Amino acid sequence: MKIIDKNGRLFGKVSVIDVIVVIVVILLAAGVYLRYFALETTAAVGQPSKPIEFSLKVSGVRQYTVDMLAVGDEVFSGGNMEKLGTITDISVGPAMQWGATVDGRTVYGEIEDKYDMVITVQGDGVISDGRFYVSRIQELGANQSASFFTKYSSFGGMVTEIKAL
Amino acid sequence: MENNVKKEKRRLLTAFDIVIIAVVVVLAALFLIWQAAKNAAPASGGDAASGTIVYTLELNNFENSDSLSVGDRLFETVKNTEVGVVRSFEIVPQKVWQNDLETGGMKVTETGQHTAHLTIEVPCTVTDSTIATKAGAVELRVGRSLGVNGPGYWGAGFIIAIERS
Repeated sequence: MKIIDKNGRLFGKVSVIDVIVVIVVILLAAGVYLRYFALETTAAVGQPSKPIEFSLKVSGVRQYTVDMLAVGDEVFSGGNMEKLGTITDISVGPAMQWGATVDGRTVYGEIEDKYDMVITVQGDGVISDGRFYVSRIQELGANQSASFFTKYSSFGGMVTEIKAL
Repeated sequence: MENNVKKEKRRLLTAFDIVIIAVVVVLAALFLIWQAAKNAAPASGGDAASGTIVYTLELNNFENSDSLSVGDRLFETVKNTEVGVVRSFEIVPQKVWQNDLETGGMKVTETGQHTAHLTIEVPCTVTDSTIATKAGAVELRVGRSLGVNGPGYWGAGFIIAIERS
């Protein structure tokens, strides 16, 4: 018996087109299930968003970067370019690092002419199972380092705190 | 013969055909919903406006100050598109950060070489999130590294200031 007969039927019984359609429908159903039920990162998209606040530590930047960040600036993700929120507070202090001294001690020393900043950002996000998702599917969490930008500045930072308001 | 025609007509729409039609209708509906959502919520960049932007670019290890002139047209070295015209410039001592073995921090020292600070004017497209050159859509942000070439010289460094509007 031929696998596909002259009418295009598998083993003379089922149309090849029908089989393809069934496969497509199964794949679509599987995709919908994964998107909305199985994968937490995408399932969170459909949930209502809430106001959240997070803090970013920006370490060892020069005065130029300090000057270009201001309260009211919108912050975007350097990864997916989506808006994360608006800067509500900025604190600036001398940049510090752990370094070795000539007598063998490890001390917390200051970096001349560089600054550490803590930027507070408020935006909307989805909280699902204790995880925070900002700008659709970007997950943010404490200790996470990432790149960010505003209209005027780009910088790397580490999330130090995130919470619902 | 009439029976054969009736059989053919009966076979015009099978269950699988209905599935195909349903799949196509669902996909079309999803596409339309996606398009509508996309139009309802414009990209984070918002509406674009045109304007002339003034920014400052530092060129490190720049020992060719004689070749710099006000009015020089600068081109970005990757895309080779224009990134502005030099409006003014200054040559300053180049600084580097060295470990300070007394304090564990870092201190600024001068290398004996020079850095050029170029103030550049360029027509840009400006949105809520981005300032990009009109000529090549080169995004301008403080902290971004940019390589440029002018008449008879090349250089690279960070954008260190952008005039806020």
